[in-house]
Amino acid sequence: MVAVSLRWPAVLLAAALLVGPGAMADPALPQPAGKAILVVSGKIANTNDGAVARFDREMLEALGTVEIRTRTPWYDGAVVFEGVLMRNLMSAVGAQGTEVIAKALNDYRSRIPLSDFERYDVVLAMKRDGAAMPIRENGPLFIVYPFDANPELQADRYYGRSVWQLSEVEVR
Amino acid sequence: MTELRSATVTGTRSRRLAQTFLGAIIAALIGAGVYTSVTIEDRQTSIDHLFRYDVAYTATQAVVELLRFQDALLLLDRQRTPEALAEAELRFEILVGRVATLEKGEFAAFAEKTPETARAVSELRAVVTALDPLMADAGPDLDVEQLVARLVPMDAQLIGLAAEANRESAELTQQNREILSRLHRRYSLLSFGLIVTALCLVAVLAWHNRLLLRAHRNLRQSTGDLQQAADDLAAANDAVAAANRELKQQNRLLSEKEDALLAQNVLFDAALNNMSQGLCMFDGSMRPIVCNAQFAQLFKTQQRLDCDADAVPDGTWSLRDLAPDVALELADNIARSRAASFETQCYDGRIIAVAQQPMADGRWVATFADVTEQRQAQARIAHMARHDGLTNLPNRYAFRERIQDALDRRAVGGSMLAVMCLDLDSFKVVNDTLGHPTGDALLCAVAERVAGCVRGSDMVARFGGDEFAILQVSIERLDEAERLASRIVDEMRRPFTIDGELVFATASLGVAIAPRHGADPDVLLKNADLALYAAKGDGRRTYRFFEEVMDELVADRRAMERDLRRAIAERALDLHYQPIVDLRSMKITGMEALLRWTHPERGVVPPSRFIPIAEDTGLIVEIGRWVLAQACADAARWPSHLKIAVNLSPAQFAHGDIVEDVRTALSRAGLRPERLVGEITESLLLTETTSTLDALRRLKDVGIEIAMDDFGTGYSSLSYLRKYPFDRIKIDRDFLGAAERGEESAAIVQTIVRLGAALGMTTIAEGVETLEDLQMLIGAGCPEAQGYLFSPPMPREQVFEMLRSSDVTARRVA
Repeated sequence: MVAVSLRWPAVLLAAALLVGPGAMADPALPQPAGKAILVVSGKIANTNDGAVARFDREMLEALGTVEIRTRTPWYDGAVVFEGVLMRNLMSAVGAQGTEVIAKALNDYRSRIPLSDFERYDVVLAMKRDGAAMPIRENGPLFIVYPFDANPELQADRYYGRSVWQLSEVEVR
Repeated sequence: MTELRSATVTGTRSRRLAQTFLGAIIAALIGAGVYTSVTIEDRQTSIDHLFRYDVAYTATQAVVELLRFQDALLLLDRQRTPEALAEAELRFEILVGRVATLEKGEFAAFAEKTPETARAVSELRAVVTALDPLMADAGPDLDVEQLVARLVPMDAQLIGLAAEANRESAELTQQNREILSRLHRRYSLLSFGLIVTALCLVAVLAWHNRLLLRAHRNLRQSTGDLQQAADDLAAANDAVAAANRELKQQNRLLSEKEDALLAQNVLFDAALNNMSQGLCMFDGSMRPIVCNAQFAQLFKTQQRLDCDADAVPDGTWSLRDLAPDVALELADNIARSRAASFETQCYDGRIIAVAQQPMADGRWVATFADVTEQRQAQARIAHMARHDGLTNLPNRYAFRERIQDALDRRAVGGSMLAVMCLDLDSFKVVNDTLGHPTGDALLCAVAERVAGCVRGSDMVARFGGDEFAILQVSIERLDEAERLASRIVDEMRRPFTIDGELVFATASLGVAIAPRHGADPDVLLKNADLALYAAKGDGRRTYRFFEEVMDELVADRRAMERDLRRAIAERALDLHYQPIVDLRSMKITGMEALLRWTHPERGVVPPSRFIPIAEDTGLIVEIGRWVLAQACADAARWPSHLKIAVNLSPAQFAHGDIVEDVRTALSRAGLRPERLVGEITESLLLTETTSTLDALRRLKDVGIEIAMDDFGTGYSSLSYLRKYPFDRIKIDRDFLGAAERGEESAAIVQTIVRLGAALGMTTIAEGVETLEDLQMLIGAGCPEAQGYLFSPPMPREQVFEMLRSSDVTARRVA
């Protein structure tokens, strides 16, 4: 009986430690120093400009970048994309919905379920083959799925979700 | 069974066929399944292809973006604002990006299919390349019209490209649709085939099932048949098992019976051959059937019996060939058909005991035992029971029986008979001096001599020791008995020669006559014994006839014994003392204690009458103890130089503890041991034993003196004087007072005195009554004396008085 009664507080303490990080996330985001290249709106907890969160290139890079190498319908052969994982971005803004609406400079829109970001390493690419992408090269931001790593992604559905010249993300 | 088998074979063949079909169908189904998978994969590929990247959309988007750029230029031309310029620049950038897209990837693959589309893309690239410097340096004053003009050919190119892409898409879609419909057809056919196969499967299964059912039915039927057969077999088996059990049971019973019989046989055999008797079973004509080893052994010495321990009676001989006496008796009993037991002496001397028993079937069984030794032993025991072992004369028991027998006969005949008791006068001395073997030889010689005196009808018996008895029968007159008694006594006076030595053994004889002295063997024996006692009293070497007075003497003796017991209890005994005088100084040196009994009716009874009675009854032990105590107590009050002499009886040595009695008396009286003198007679030494010698030695150890009393009357063996540590010798009164013996007596006394002096013993003369005696004693040198000349025995009080009044000198008779 003594052993059991001693064990319960330990379990509760462990539970508190597990819940802790989420509760302690910083709700406020820093202000963009340079020109904002991405606006995140909708059901987000963390903002820096009213109801939206604005990001410049440095802020995005601060979230940590990764590289994926894949072939796409739009380029010849395999290309290396470097950028932020979409789930890190979602985490940074405290996204609370089920999907996002990704909007491009040419007013192209695509609905992407948030579950895609959990299931796949979807990258918000900022560089292609080591170089920053200007608008004329589908930049500055390009949502890229890891098509080669997951063959089921080589379908029209996911090609349509790969939005280039991304300018805004709305969380719903 | 044949039908069953053929049906089974047919069924098996059909089932095998059905199984083959089933296998084929299953293979077909597997094939169809595989093919379906392939088809579905193909279809999936086609559908994937159908929904792959859409070149038509890309081309259309290019048209839209060109239009939006043109719209932005037109807006800039009208407003000329920085926002409008930025919008125009953005749209240009997007258009450039689109053109780049058209040049790469899948669209490039599409565009290069035809020369027209390839040329259109390259011309678009030329237009945007031409516009690029202009847009890079664009300012508010941009020549919009020139730009629009340059864009005009692009419209046509892009629309053409879009149309071509559209046609390409449609074409692709159509192709895919055809592939799909082809796949659908294949799929439908396959489904149909599957359905047919399934139906076939069902049919085959049904058929197979029916075959199985039939086989099962057959099997059930054959199982039933088999079951029936098995049941029949089981029943048969049970019957056989039962029969087997029955047989086993019978067998076991038989076996048990056989074992029992065998065991019985063994038992019988063991019993037969281990019984001590011989056993023989024989038929009516005495032909043996069975006999045991003992039987064969019993008659083995018979020459005519050809039968040993292992011989099986072969009927060639009969029991008549055995000892004729046995056979005669057996035959006699067979003739009378009766069981019988008898004993017969064979011609070889053996006595055979036979027990004969008829059996149910006319046969006989008889047991035989050699009882010769048994009978001889019995005879020996019977003889021993009635005879004396030493002399082989009849014993008291046989003698008494013979008297009774003679008395019974006498009642018829009317004659008298004499019973005589004979006793050797000095047998003890012979035994003691010459040894027991000589004594025994003497007894045998006496028996022989006495037997020589009697007639054949008379009887001589020995009762034990030196007691003999003679029965004289059929006497008409008393002098016949007198003559025999006289003859026996005379014969006994003649010396016997034992081992070449002459031995004198005179006898005394007592005679009782029946019917005068009794009509009963015990009475006659008693009376003869009394007569013997009287004869001994008469000085021995003679015979006496029984007289009534002898009986009275015995009665008197009994009365005196009774009175003596009372006297002891009532302390009616008294001690008198006779002084012992030193003949040189004529002074008293001591006293001899003498017992006195004053009977209330008879008056003074002399010791010579009651002392023998006291010795015979053992009363002397108690009396002697009292005398010692009293004498010591009295002496303790006398002057200390006076000794006290006390007579010690042989009975006190034999039955009492004389040493302890003396010690007790001395210590109680406080008397010094050297003042006490114990006087013993020669008779004590005749019953010489180690205990007597030991007692004398111990008395010497206590410190008292020992005197030999009545010396000279008995055997006076000088060896006694040497053997025993006497301090004094008392010369018997017989040697004094007889003037007629004169010189002879004086010589004897002188010799004794000298002997005593030589051995260191003081000599005392008894019974000194006259001056002549005294003179003779003084002449002989005798140191001490006692007697009436000095003083008669005196009562204790008188002794005290005398010792007080005088200086204790002997009265001298002037």
